[in-house]
Amino acid sequence: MTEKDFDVVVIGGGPAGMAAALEALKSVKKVAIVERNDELGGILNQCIHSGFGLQYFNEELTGPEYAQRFIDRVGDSEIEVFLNTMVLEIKDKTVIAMNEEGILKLKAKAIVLAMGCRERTRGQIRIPGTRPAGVLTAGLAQRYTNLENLKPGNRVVILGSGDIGLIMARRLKLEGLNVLSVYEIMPYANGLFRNIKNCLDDFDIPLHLSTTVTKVIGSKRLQAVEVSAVDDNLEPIPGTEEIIPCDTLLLSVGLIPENEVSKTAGVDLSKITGGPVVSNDLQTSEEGIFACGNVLHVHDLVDHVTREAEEAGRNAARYALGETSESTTQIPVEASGPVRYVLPSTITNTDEKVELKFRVGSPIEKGKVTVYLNDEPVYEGREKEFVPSIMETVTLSPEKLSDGKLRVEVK
Amino acid sequence: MKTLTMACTTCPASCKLIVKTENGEIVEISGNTCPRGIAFAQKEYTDPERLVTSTVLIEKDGKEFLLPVRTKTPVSKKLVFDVMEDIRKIKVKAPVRVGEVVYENIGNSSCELIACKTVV
Repeated sequence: MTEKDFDVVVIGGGPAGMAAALEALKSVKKVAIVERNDELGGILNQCIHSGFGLQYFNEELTGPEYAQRFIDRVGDSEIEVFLNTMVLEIKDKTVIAMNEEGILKLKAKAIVLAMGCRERTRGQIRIPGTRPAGVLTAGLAQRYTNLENLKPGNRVVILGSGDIGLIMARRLKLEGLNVLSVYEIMPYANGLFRNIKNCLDDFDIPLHLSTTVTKVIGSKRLQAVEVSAVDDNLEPIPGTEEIIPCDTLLLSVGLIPENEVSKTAGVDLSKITGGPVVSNDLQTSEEGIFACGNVLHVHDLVDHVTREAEEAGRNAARYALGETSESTTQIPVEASGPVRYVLPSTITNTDEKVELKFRVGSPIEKGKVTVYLNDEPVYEGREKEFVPSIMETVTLSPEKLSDGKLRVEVK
Repeated sequence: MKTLTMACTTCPASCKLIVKTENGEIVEISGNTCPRGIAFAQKEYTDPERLVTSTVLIEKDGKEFLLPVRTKTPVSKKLVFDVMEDIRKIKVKAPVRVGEVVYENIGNSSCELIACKTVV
């Protein structure tokens, strides 16, 4: 068994983990990244499309290019990287992991959770029918196509208009597959507007809103899906069924932060985001354990992940150095009305400006965000459009904060 | 008069542009929040361009893997499938560095195809 001491141990070697580790290394000496895959980069390795880095690097990069910049920096640094290493649990600030050589015990002064998220599957949306081959998540199809040189099928139907589904519609079309259509149960598209335009409209792939797959048909291989229109309560409308012959059904129906390891450490999780409940220094309910990136809440841009991870890395290093003082402030933050969630859930540090990140539950054509402190408005945004697919940010200056309760509302 | 809507892809703000045309000429562009939106709408209406991203085979230690690649600059939308046609024929050998040109004049687009990943 290998036993090692570190200032900061980062779990996950994707964009969040790499940025957190690099930032932590600016203040402390001994930093480790534990990654279960055989290379760093995380999901960016299979996201070969462009659109990454516009905010962080001020240029448009593909996923692998964005990852490469951090992989190179980690490679040139003193960060100890454990590849092919699976974390089993966190116990008393020790990360217990396993790889080919056996069990590793990595003792840490601070830990950063950066495990990312995974896709929702057929089981979670409960589509009736048989269980043939050919029903897979969009991200798995992306892995097959972009990393493993495998073709997922020939005639493809996509359920869900999340960005991965849209990106895969274009990708498979470019690879010569017949992409028939995209179905979305909601009355609006879930992906970014630019992806609808560039991935579907460019290739004349139809998007059917308020429609969902109501049956999977086929014994060994998928033969067809039945689709139906849905009513305002998202219930299928009898008589609208249509049979679409196809051999592949891709599911792009949402992501879930991957927190199995967090649970072993006793970290409290939010029922809404599925990620840890954090204070504004990104510290979880367990002291010295920080969280960032998609394990905390699902982001739409990797640029935001990087910035959030840098903050977590910085705070973890500060904690490892014992530089954090006992906090006296406790300002709870809550979401109200159409705001689905706000991060952080408490503000414990008012030395610096406080960033509130939030998302609405359904589209609002014209709305205005207001932040209340004990029912007194302390921030008011300008009128704009709000959509669930875009994370919004509000920055509050510390002098606006005092004891009480913060509430974020969109009207 | 015809009205078109398009998403500006210059930055993540993704402004929804509304383009009004008459006899094939743009008469009004609205919805943009910066001047880049105007330039984008004009280009998008006359000769839209797209960055093409895909993969090519790369040989390393006698084994074949996929190397992510892209056109260095956006190419005319009309040439996207020609670019893909050429991409399918390419096979490179490691080592390759990110940004390295793996093919020139891909699909007769006069654009270079570059590696998106370092494989050594």
